[in-house]
Amino acid sequence: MVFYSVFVLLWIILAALPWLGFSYGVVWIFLLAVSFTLALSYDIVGGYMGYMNLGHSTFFGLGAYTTAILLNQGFNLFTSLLAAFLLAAFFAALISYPLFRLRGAYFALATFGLISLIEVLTVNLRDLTGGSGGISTPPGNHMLPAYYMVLGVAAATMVLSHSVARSKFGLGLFSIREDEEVAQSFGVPTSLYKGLALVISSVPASLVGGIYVWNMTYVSPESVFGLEIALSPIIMAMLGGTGVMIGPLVGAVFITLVQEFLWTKVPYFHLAMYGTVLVLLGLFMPGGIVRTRWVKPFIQRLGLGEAVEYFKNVDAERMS
Amino acid sequence: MSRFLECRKISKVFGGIKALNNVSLSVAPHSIVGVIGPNGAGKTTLFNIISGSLLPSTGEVIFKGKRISGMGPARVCRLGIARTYQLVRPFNSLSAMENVMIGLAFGRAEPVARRARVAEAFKILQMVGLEGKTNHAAEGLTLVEKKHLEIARALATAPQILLLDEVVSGLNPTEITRTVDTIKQIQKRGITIIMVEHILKVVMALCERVVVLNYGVQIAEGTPEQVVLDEAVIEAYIGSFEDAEEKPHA
Repeated sequence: MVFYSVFVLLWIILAALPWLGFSYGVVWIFLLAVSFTLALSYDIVGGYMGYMNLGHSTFFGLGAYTTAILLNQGFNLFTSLLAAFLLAAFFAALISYPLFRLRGAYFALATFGLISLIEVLTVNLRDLTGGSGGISTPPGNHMLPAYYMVLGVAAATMVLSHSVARSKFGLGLFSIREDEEVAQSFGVPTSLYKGLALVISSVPASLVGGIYVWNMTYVSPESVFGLEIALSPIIMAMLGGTGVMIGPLVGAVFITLVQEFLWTKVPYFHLAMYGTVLVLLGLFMPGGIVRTRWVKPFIQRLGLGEAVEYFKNVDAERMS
Repeated sequence: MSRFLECRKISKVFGGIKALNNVSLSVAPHSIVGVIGPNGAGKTTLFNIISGSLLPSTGEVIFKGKRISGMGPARVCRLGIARTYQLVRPFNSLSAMENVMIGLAFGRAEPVARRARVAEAFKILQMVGLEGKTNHAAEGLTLVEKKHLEIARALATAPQILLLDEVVSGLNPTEITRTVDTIKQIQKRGITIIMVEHILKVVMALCERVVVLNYGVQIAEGTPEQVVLDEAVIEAYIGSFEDAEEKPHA
């Protein structure tokens, strides 16, 4: 119960933010919530199932482009978003067949290649996508509604992620992560589950992509298929702790805060930082922040144990 | 001979190596059958074929009148043949409870309903003596506990046949005694057991029938007492006098 009330409270505070006069805070939380949703939806495939999907931002980009194109055609926002997530889900289902024949590093590489593939397509399908110059959408100040929509999608993604983790489906995903061959011989429908996980993780990413472009009124290949948008959600999930819901949240807040301070002083330094963080993580904190010796007991004492370990299975000593 | 589980003339070729050559095996319900043989005799290959993770090159496996070779491991598991692994492979970062719950949720023809899963998993863990470790991650367990967890996970699928692949190797005498007791308990529940084993003491204590493999060929079959006195078996394990005379330095 504590678990749910803390998040409800947090969301009420965030929802009240625009009325308290923190206009910069609203922009900041908007971007944070977009990153967080990306990190959390990535974690269904990357954390629960153990398949490092480096191409998760493809869904974000697809959502953004579909929404932008449809908005320019005169469709309203909801139709555009609906089309965006249907297209992304369809795309996820389509690519899951060839992609999931690969495992480990080969899977990660193939998904990374997927971004370039879609990026090259967007650059060259000039009539549809505006080429490398990108496209603008109808202008207007959408900050406030976009803010609430992203908060809503983020909350929905949390509920989704939490219920997946506690379902039979989630149990199947965990078993795939641990030993796919054994999982299969114990009757886990691995191919179906892997495809389904990818489709589920594509939906929130494409939705925030659509809302993002509606708010920013501009999308270019660089802004949605760039290295930064590809890597930052993954770094956030891994830094915070993969496979548990609170991990991506902690990671997203941490990275966004660090960015906030570095960006203004040292431009582009955050890109170098991502690489450094990734290396250091592997060496010193393989379980992420939430599983370290100091943080985990603290979170549990707050009554949020459920957010750190769904099945009481992660041993702090072992992870750190 | 009964028609419960039958392996008919199974051969398996890996590249140029014949891992199994015309092996036939028939198992009666509620019995314990041992498969023994020196290293590389093809025992684990036979298990992989029975459990469906490998296809035989020739021959077939018949379970209760149904041909199961070619069905794939998941369907074989649901039909009632579960296994453990020689080198233990529990789901490491999941708890003992979850390991068993995966068997309950996926490995049965009629999966256990969500509400009943925890209670059922606990019962099974109790049976193998792991009731105190339900919330421990599998990778933190000792070897004997991991082996028992694998048995529990297999039992969770409600098997009619349990394949135990060297389940007591690497254990100390006390642990072996405990494991042997557990296996007897399992048999009493009406589950047929086929076990690959190196430790003859365990085979002698448990098995009603023993099949001996050597280089993929079935060289003997019978009660444990008959088999250990069989000349071909003794030769396979310790060599013959002629060998010793011909190659004194071998």
